[in-house]
Amino acid sequence: MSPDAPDSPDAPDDLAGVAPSTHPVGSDVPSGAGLRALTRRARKGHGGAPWYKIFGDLYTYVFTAAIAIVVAVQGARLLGGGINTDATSQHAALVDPVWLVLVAALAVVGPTLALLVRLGPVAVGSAGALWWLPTPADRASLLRPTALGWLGLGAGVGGLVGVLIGLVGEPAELPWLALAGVGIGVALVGATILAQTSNASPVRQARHSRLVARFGDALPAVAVLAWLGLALTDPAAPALHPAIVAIPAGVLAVVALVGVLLRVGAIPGAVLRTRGARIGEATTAVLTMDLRALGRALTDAGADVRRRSSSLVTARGRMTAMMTADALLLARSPGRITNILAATVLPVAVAAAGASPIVTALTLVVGGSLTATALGAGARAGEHAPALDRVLGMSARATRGARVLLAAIVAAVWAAVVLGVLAVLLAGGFGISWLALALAVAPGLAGTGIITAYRRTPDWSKPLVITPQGAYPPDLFSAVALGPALALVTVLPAAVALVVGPAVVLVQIQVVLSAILVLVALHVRGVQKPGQPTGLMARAQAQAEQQQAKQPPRR
Amino acid sequence: MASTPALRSQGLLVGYGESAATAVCPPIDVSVPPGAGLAVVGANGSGKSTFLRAVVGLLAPLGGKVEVFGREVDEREAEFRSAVATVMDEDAAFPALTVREHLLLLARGHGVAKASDLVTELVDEFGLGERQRAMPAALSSGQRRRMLLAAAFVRPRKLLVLDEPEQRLDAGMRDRLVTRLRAERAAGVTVVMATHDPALVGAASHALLLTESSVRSTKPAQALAFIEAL
Repeated sequence: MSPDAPDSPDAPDDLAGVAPSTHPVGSDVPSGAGLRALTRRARKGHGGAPWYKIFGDLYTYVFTAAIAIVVAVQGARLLGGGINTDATSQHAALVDPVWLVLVAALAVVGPTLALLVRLGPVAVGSAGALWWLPTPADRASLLRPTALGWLGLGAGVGGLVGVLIGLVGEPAELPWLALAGVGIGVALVGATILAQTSNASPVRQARHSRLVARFGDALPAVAVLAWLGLALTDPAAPALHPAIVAIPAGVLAVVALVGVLLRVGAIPGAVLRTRGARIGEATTAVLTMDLRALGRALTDAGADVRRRSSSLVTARGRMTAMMTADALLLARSPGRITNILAATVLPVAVAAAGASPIVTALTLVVGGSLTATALGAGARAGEHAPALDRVLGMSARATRGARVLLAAIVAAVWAAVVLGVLAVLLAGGFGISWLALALAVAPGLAGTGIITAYRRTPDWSKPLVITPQGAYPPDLFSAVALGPALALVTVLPAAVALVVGPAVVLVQIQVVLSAILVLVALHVRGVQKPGQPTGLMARAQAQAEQQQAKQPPRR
Repeated sequence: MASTPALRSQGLLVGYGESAATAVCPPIDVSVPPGAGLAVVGANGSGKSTFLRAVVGLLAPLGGKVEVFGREVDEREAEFRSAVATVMDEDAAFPALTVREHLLLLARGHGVAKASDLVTELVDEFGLGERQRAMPAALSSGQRRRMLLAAAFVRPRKLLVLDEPEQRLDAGMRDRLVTRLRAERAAGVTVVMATHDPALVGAASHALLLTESSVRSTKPAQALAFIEAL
């Protein structure tokens, strides 16, 4: 009997009429694509968005993307002009633009690769895992749309990056660079999808993915180190025509595309489920604009990684136990260590490459922001699961104090190294003023990390701000910008010192700023009295109960 | 000639690590004939769900092997998915599909003839008749569990794998589930379930007792004594 037969008088028509696949299990089993179509049809049966609403959304997305591309292209043109001008001036950049392009490509490919393997890329959401994957419908046609979507995204992003790089360089090379970008994008995505089809157990696959993701995380730091090396050694740039990259990249892209189309059905269900859960987590974080949750979803925070237990010898009391736990968390986060390393090398590399003190000062701000974010790891974990902090029985202020202290110690080392090297490069020596400045900036960076970690999440209960790109909570911008803004304020005196020298007044300002930031970091807002409900739902329930109590009893 | 066991494991080591050292329990050797019922019993964390995950192909064995109807488990094979129905400790649904549409989707995904009639029977049997047009978000936790259980019976099956099916069910539904599982076995379907419920253990013909230090195949009566002692 065909699946669209009217087998019941009230049978809904929206789940009928799917062409049977040629699968050997049974002639009536739909293909994977048919299964998707069944679901889509049922969903449509419950309304869905009218065409004009979809058209309006599409218009908004296309318009936004067009603006972003125009801005990026304009920026690339300006950068290209700047590089060409610099090349003929007295202050020529020591690093050749060809090297710059290669280093930038390394810095872009790394995080892209890490993002791809962490998200899947091919995955099935929790509902699909439960209602699609157990059927005998062929998995290849079920997964092909997702795989092709990722490949298309890889081609688009790769092509755009190629075009932007082309705008910096020679116009004649632009088509080759665009083609190379498309090829590399497709090949990269294709390789990560093919890795998913491996016969290794899901646990082993997860471990391999983690290793690749950490490799990707480390590439920006490698790029910064490479830049430093290039600035110091000044090697001749390779005479590399983009066609030499574009042709092999194109061939690889075709191989990857064919491989994905043939092999995508071999991805194990367990892999599809775990990656789907990760994408679901990241999507929820994006929709609720919860940056901390997004960070957790896009890192290995939730991975089932087992390590040898530490003996925790430095934990001699509650305070040191808290500091030991945070130190261990930082030491076991290769991504954060890499960020601190990159934050250390970046300003040094820029200064060594012959950049002006102002540009170096800007990179010092970026480095400070990266370091502060990494140092807030323990506080973010505590904010996410406060029960773990509570077991030590410390006050909230003392808990934050312990965290600030540990972060300040690490930040002092970072600031001393960075400002020490920069002082030698830009000011000819590292004196007591620079050391004082480094020690003064450290508590400020620690405070920034802790304040940012404990910041409020956007409040969706307030009136939303309506924009062409959607409705947002009013405090979204402050939540996003808080970390970089505080880092800018914290590092500003040290950054100014790079331009004008380490004046005593700058050290004094730095001390005052850091003291304020530490005080703010130690401030605990809205302490709940015992028995007072916390959270939106609990408060709503308490209000409802109060109202109910006021009403006279029914007879 | 003896028929091929519905489920057979030899020296099966299960766990969430990569080596045999991370196995959650000793090697599991079990053979379940077609139409039999195996109750997997043990304390929390003894490896019941982990064993079932290996049986349905969601977890690769750390050692040994597990076969379903004479073939090594590989959930990528359509034949395997078509033969093995599972209800694990998962709860997810498409937000825009009703209860009835979910069941219909699965039935049609398996090529079931007269899918709509079967779904009508099952929503009544699982007490979802009044809620069959409801979206998943409007269901209670117990009703969602009923929907997930009904999903196991709306499709063809030769092996039914259930992970603590009694969870979130009221006493009446548990009784109906016991009756249903007995009927399944009578129809030749093999049932493998992890459970703490004495009534469900009573519906089995074999039992597997899991502890951290031992794995023992036994009779359901001894499994009942084991549950009472926990």
